[in-house]
Amino acid sequence: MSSLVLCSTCRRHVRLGATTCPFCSASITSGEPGGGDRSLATRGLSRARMYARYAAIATGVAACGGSSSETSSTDAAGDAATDTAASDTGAATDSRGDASGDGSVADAGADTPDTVSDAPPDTPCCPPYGCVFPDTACGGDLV
Amino acid sequence: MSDSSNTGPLSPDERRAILDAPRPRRSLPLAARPVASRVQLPLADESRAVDRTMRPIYAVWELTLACDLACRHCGSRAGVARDDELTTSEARDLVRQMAALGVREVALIGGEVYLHPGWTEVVAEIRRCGMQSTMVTGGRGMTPEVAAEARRAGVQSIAVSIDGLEETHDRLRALDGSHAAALTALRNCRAAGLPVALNTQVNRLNLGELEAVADVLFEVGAHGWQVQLTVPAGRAADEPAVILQPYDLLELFPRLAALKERCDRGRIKMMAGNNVGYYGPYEHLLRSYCHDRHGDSCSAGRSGLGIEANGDIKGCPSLPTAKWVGGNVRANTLERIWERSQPLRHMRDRTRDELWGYCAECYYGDDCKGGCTWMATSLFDRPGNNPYCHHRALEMQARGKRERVVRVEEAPGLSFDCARWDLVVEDLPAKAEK
Ligand code: SF4
Repeated sequence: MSSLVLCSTCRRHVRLGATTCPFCSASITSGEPGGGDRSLATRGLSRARMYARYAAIATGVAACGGSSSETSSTDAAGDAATDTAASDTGAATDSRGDASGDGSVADAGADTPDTVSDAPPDTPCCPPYGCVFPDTACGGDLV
Repeated sequence: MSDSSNTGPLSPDERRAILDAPRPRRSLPLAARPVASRVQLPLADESRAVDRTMRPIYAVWELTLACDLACRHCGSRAGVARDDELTTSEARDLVRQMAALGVREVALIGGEVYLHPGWTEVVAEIRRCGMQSTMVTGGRGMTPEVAAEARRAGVQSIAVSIDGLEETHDRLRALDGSHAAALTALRNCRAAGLPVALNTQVNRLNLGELEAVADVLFEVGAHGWQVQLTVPAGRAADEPAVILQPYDLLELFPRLAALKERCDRGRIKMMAGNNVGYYGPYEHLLRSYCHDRHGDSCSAGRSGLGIEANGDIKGCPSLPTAKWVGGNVRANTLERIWERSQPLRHMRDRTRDELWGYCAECYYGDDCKGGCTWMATSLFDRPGNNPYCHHRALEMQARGKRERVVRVEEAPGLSFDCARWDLVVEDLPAKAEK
């Protein structure tokens, strides 16, 4: 969950809970992550749904072997299970397994750093670099 | 068509001088043969919960360092293959390990992917394992036959690098005719039935030509465009006059915003790369594809995986080899390296305490953590302070200041190496000056 919301006046991101925008001094009335316009904010979800599909395929990765990997098949299955929980509500989840929605990570032991909230984006949306994938992630229903 | 007379942050004379400048000897492709790194740092005895719950989603894989170009801004100084690149059999095994670990998309880069003898087998294995397959090319050898091979193997999208109009592109790519070859590559891929995208690095030579590059998107029917800043690493560190200055972002971002709106209207997916940021007035627009319409902090080792051609594993493919390789897949499994190596753990463990300089006091520090680690480390040899930030440039401007980077020590001439830079904070010049 983002700690920022969008100021509807100047379109700058401001901290969740702020009552006044530090950039334009407008009062912040919406507490919705990303601002009040969900039609834009949900554009990334189609990619999440697509990934859910691929994660389901990846569940069958045992067929690929992974000859020298120590990865257990439960890891991939866990990924698929949580990713499939992606929904139109914006509550897309990822492979962290925090589908509970409270941001907590199950099984976080004493060795877990206190930065565990610094997790991957809820909705994976863009490779670090590489090639843009032809899906519907950001432009509506492309390709 | 767009106006191509705009020279960006440079005057016409300054621009001409840079275009005509001879290639620095250090940046010649034969000057430094890539060295085999095969870093073998000790791994932690056990993985932690956070290491097991965070899994790589995107892998960007330098399949070979061999290249048929030797671009003057290439971060990996590609041209000659590494001495110890993975064989096709080893590469296919790595594909299976990636799939088992949860990777969902593999972008193959180089060098030039099609110069690896088993590249189509690697692509086919990626698809067989249920992952998405894309690749990036300079396009020089992307003949109709190679494009058809890519299609048959299962490549789902090909990004061709276009870095400006013909003269600019050919100068940056160090080869007359490379722009024409890239356009031909785009057409060959389209003819083969492959979706095509463009990749563009922004620097002082091409900032004024971005609108003209966008024209190409529409001409060739591209579905996407990824825009990144040229990072002063590798050969780009050898040519400081080409690198944007932090204050150039004040000119760049309104242009990017206008281009994003144009692309949206044309149903072309324009993506601001991870070093284009952060949190300024156009963030919500440039990252409208993200769930919260803003970028996240560096994903290296959190959701990102980078692979060098010899099997060295990093969190991001561009990070400097010496400090950021966590291990090699010939010595350890990918899973063990991902979960137990300190360089891969770095972004999982860091706190705001890592920030320094202006970023340490920044309003967005908790979320941004200094943006792109590659950019910060390429400048200052450590993450946590990144002057290539629109928000920061605007804050400086509001104080009547700007930041400028000055190279104080050359890069040694190795793949993914870095120079040393000083950061100068100075008064803004009078309006008319550039
Ligand atoms: S100043 Fe630094 S921490 Fe703040 S937004 Fe820019 S890069 Fe991020």
